[in-house]
Amino acid sequence: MVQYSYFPGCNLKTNAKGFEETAIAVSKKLNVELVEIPNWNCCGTVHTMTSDNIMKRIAPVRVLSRSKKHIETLEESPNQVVTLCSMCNSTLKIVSKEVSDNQDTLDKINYQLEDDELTYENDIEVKHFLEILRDSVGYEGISKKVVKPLKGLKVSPYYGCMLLHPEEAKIDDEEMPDVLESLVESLGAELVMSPLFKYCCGSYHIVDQENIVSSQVEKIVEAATRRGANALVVACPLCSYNIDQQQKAMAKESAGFKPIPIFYFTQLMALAMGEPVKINHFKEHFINPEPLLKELGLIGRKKTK
Amino acid sequence: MKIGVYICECGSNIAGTVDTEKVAQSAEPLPKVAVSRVYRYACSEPGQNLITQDIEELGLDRVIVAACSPSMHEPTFRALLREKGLNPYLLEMVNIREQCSWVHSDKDQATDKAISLLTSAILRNTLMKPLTPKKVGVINKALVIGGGIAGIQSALDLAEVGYQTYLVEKTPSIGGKMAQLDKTFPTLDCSACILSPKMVDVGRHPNITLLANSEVIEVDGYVGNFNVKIRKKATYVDPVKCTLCDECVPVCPVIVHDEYNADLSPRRAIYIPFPQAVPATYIIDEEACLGIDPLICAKCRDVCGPDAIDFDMKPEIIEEEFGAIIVATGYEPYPIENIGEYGYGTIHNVISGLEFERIISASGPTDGVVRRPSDGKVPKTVVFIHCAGSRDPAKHLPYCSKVCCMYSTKHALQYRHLVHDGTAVNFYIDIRTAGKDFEEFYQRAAEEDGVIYIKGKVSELIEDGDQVLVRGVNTLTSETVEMHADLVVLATGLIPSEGTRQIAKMLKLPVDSTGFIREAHPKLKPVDTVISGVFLAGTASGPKDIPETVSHASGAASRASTILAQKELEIEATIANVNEILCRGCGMCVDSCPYSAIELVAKNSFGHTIKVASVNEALCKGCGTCSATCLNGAINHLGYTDSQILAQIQALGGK
Repeated sequence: MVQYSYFPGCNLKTNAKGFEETAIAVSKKLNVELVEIPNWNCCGTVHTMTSDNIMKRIAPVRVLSRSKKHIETLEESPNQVVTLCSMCNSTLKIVSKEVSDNQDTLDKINYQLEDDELTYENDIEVKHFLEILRDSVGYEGISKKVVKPLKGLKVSPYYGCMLLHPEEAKIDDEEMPDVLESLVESLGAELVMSPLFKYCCGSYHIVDQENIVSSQVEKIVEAATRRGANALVVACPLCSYNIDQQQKAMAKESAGFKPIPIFYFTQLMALAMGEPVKINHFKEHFINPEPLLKELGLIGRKKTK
Repeated sequence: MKIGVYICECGSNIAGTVDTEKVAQSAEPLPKVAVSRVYRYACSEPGQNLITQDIEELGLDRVIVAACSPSMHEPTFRALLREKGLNPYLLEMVNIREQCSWVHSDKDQATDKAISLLTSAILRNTLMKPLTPKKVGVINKALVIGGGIAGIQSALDLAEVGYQTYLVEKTPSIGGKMAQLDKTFPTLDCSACILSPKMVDVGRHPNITLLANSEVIEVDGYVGNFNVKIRKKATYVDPVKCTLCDECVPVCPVIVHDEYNADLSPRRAIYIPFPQAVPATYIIDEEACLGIDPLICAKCRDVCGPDAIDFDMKPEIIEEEFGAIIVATGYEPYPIENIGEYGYGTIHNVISGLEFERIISASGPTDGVVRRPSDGKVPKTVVFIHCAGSRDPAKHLPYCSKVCCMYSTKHALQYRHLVHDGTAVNFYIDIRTAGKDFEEFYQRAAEEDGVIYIKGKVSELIEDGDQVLVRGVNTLTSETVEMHADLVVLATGLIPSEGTRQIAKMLKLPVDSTGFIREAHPKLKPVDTVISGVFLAGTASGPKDIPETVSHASGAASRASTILAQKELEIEATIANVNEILCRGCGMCVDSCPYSAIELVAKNSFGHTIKVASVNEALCKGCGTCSATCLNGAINHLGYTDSQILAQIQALGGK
């Protein structure tokens, strides 16, 4: 069992419990253990990206140095910190690149970290769980563990922005990615390609200008359903929240709008690998995927609620 | 031995940073130096007269000029020595400009350096021996590789002068990319109409041997004496017997994409590339045909009246000798499927410029009616995207391909002429119209023919129903633009063709960072390559439009004539020389030689056969790699012998 130092971030503990629990469950099946960093803090998120103030880099660098300490206590652990949230992944990657290019910045941050008895030495790599699945586990290894191929599920991958941008944080080709596509196929689901695979979900406008988000979501969902998709797969808790929640609101407003459920990629893996349904926390979804899954015979008729 | 030393001031170029008087004085006490002078411009006529006068009056037999790089004026002063009856190889140039005054600012230190350089040159000069350049004969035949407009023009020019010229073309017909174009900018001439007379001339010219469907596979030798192997593939149709009756085509059961129509229409396995093809004959596509050996179908042979089809035809290897080679291997369009955001290859109605060229062509797959490939409808809105994959150093081509602004403008204008109620929108970064009448052509499109120009890049293309959603920006109004188009045409840039890359490798021609073949000098030798006797024509050396290609090709023909017109050529005397007594035949020099100029030959030595290195004097460029490699010190570089270089080092380290 390879143990990875795992950084959850805020969403995985609140809005996206199903994402985290399924990820931990399927990783064990794949001989990869995600071990949570003890005592982690916020990745730094938007503050890091919107300002070049060094103070805003302290949080992510602290995460990296704590992860390094954590790795020393793990078994067979590569020098990598793994994230699930694409925002955390992007923030940590950008900052790790920035401090490795600029020793002066790192020195200043390390000075601030002295109180925590921490110091960071540019000696750790940030990886998204999708990268581990693609590069270390391999799709073949994943399909070998599939016990219940997701037949009938027509899944359209939706990347959003953070998985593919900016250059220093991208996990795949920004124009022609195939990591989610290959994963979906290795789980036995049908792949539906949508041209709006990285069309902005509306992001933080959800806080103040919901109409922007709803118009974006409408286009994203429409592009996928018109091509025959009956589900979306994502890797970002914010994309998931925006699309899921807005669909429910739109369905209420217009009877013609047909919402489709949205899955984290690890939820699809858990379903295909026969994990218990309850770890998906489907009840917390705005659009409950269970009716569709039942219709397709992918979850039993046994009571799951 | 009497040495004359001349220090050039080159105006203030040298004198500004180097104390030339002091340098001249430093040479006076050195052995064998008869005179040491400073002059303002040594290369000027009075400067040269000064040296001539000293040779006559003081009886100088060696001359040292401390001035600029030898690549500038060595030939000038060598000629002077030759004129006065001295051996030109007893001249020594000391570069105190590019390698001293131009790169330093401290006058004292620069002067010291100039003195060291001069002293070392004088000590070396005393050890120099007169050298005599060898002469080689010249084969008065030319080879032109590539049968596009560049190759056609070069071959015709050389043939007109009277030289036997071989034109080798890889595809079944000459004509190249120009034959695929419908019209040419800025005059809107019919491309095929102005090209086909030249193609016919090539086919008929008594001095031209046209080898279509053939490839150069090996090139050996040197300027004036290239040995070339050409593989002529089998066409399986006898061009003499073939009457172009077309009976064979309908019976052929194989259907493949037609390259001439940019794969937009079908053709059979037996076909003629296009109606005006030269050589005018049908051929069988070996790869597409159901089977030639063993013969599987043969329906075409059964219907062929004149018995022109011969399945037993075999490829031939032709070996010929040539005095000069012109590389006219051309370009190919940038593979736009690399541009993910434009979806070429996944969105049906996104096509390349060359595909649009065929679609608007009167002889094209839609018979001159503008129809889009997805459903054959006439598009009412066409968006042309300039710089698709060009001027994008981060991801695609860093350079400007020069012709795309104009061909997109031409496409938009032609579209407006064919579809009067249609809308043509061009997205551009900058409009580059640097050519005769180009700006007027662009003005005409924008002002008279109603073509819309939007300054800005398209960020992505999205399939939306049967239309394409174009998302971009107008940088003049700072607004995002979203519009639907029925057809999107990508103006792709030019990259070196596969043939250009292959030939560059085969001939060991250096290429630019962009892969195009590098000219010997970008300004003053635009058709020469670093290999003497090999010249460039057309887009093999970089993007060009048709008039520029034609003049480039004529230039190459004219440069090639300067070699072909000689009976013999003088070759450089400063080359490698093997001491056969010291050579032990290990062959390390053979491996180290970048020009394949050395080989091991058997030699009889007191009844034993031994191997010794032998230098091909015509191939040797005098780079010195072999003499540095030889463990036994058996190879000396004439003009730069070990003893001369050691004397130089001694002088430089002497202080």
